[in-house]
Amino acid sequence: MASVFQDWMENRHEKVKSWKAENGRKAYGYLCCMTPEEILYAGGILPVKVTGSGAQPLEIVDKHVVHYACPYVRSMLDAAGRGDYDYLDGIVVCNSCDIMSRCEYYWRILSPHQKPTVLGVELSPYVLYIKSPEKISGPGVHEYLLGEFRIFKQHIERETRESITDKKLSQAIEVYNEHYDWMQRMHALRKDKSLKIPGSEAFMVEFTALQMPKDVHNRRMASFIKEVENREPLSKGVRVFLSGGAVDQFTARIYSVIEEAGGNVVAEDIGVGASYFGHKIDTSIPPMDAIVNHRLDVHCPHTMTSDYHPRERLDYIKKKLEGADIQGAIFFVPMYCECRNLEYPFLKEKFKEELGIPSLYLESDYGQGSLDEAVSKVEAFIEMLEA
Amino acid sequence: MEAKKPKTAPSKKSIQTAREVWPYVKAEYAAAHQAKAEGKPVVWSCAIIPKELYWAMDLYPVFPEHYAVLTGMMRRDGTKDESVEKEAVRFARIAEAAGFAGYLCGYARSSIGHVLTGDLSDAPLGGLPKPDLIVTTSFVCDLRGKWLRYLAQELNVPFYILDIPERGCDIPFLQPGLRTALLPFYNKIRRGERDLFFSPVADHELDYTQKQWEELVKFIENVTGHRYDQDRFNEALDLSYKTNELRLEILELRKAAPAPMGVADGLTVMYPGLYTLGTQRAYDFYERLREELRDRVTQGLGVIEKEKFRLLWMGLAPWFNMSLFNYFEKYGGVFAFEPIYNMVPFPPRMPENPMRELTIRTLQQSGGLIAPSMIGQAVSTLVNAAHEYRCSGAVLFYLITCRPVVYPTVEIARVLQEDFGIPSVPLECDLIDERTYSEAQTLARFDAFAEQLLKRAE
Repeated sequence: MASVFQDWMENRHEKVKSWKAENGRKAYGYLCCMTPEEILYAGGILPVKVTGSGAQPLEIVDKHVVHYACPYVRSMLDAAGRGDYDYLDGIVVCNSCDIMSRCEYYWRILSPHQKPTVLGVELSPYVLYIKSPEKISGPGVHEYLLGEFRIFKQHIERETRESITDKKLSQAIEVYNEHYDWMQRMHALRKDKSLKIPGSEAFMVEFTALQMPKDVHNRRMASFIKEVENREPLSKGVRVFLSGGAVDQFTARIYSVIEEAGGNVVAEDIGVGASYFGHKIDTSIPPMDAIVNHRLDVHCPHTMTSDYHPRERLDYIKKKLEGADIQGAIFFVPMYCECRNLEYPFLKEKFKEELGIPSLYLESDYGQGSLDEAVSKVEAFIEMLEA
Repeated sequence: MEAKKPKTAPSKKSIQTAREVWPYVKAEYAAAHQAKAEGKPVVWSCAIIPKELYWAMDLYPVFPEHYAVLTGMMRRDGTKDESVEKEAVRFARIAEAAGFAGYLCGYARSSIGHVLTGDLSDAPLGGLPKPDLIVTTSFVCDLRGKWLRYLAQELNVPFYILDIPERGCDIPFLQPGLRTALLPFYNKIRRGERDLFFSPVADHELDYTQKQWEELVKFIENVTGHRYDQDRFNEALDLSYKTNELRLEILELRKAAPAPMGVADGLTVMYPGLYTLGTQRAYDFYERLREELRDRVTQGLGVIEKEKFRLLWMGLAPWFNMSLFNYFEKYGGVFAFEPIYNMVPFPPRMPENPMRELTIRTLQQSGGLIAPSMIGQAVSTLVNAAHEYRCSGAVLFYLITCRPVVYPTVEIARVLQEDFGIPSVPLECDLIDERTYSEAQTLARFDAFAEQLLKRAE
């Protein structure tokens, strides 16, 4: 069963191209989970998570982006410049960090695509930028993001020449809520003492949901979960929480590094998919409002709240860890990721004080080098936890 | 990162008014300590937030960013002994030991390390008075939100972040009614390229930004008990407006050749305007500066006697070694202008709705004209500046610890050279952490660049 997911993980470009040809529909790439995927889905467009490639050297991006920038985003932009993502019909950029917000500019420069204009007005730009707020709570933020999403929806409607009705949005929300349900079930199973799903496999399942059509993924999940429930428990492993950025098909190797050292990731906060399916979309309010509310509950390292004494990230992570029986935390942070690095010392201290668990910090250069370097550090950390 | 200790020095000032800045700075810190002693609330604020609300609500603001600049210039106990490392380095080491990465902004590492020492007073000018509240913004960079949040967590102080939409358009935003030259884009149009777009600010952006200001008022009221007074707010905004008009006049005077004031002075005299805008003392300062510059222009006095080439500076400042701004003078080169910290025209006064006025101003600032926010805007600003100030070359600060400043540098260098034939050279280092600075590499690059510009000027 896992082989379907494996196939999508390893051949994502080809799979999306085939899906487009078979269905005669469009596919949009998006850079961050603040993107209202449900609007794309309701418009008949396949939302596809854009990631880096792991390829070296980065010759194209070097002419436009300095080295002192997130290596994952540099890799992604280099792939765009090489044409790896030319099969996409549009790109959605959110203000999800300093470098991501600038990708509107970089993507236009590195991968120019002409879209129709009328009297010089772009009807639906190839690169769509959503000025997502940094603050996800407090007065006015709902109305603000609703304003942004309305503009986004209008662009998608002009692209497809079809109206995205509330009915279509509600249908999309139903599919996405089923997905969130499956993910929550899988994550609940991971917390179980029987350890029936290795972290690496769970990551693959979660990651491919960002590439596959959600309805197709949902159907696969039904049989996958059934198969997992019937599995024999895994051998004992040290239970680890993984917090990291830029974990994709390439850097997912970090899961294997941890497993080979005798650990198992049973919960994570990795900013790929896990950050947005913690709860379902409210079906009792108008769908656009519900999608806005859902995105305003993304507690990623970039977002902040209106709390006078902020500890939102800690509380969010602690909630995720309930019942996970974690023994240690591993932070796998890309170089130049200021949002993740700046929260680390506080989280490390509070993990120790409030959860009684130690932390390991690994810096990722989004290359094989830092993955290789991680091996001995993870081994020593797991050994310490076992002692 | 650790290199042989470089030779560093302050810049040589050309302007008399610039020499008034250091006493002005010391008076500000003394006043902040005095305010604290008298029980007045002290706010630690991010530098980019307009200050008028603080004055109107009777808070005393101090700025970790500015304080970090002082730590980059001064050693412990005020010693001049060069074997003693500067305070910024001492504090940065403490922050790094706590897990903060060396690639983070030097300001952040310095102020975090300062707080982590546990003794705020053991630092230059008696340190910073302990805050009663901390206020920052999402505008300019991600770091200032998370950095000041950490300080609030560590000091257990109420915290507020003023969230501003991060505009992604390629053309700078000014307020309605103002026109701006878009030089890089004119060239694109001439070449037949049409990939050039601009989105006017939407109502929901204005409404959200205004709400953020109104929520800041509530936050201050809740934390301090001080009430918002619109009349006092308007008084401060009146002063800001008048001061900004003076600063705009000063920017015009600076276009003269020979340059009456260089970047070394420009980065010094920005202090009253950036940190104390909305006060009489800031207004008076710029009035004196304007008068001095008028005189210098009338008399034809320049930073150097015979200018062979003029340079544009892009970025913040290497505060630990401001003497770099005098380096090209031996070649007949002068740093004429720095498009940073200088304000653009403010929107007209709206005394009946000052919050709306401030909202428009805030969005205008986030549009990239005074800070390297979005890349297309930063490129546009630089090209316009090069033309207006007749600069034949640019030194670009590859500020390796500041994402928003360093990101556009490659594009700025490319567009300046390819579209306008203006060469540039990088300076790579942090703002205050001199461990990141390579003297030999920097000066070798500067020498080669000066020779290149002299050859072109022949």
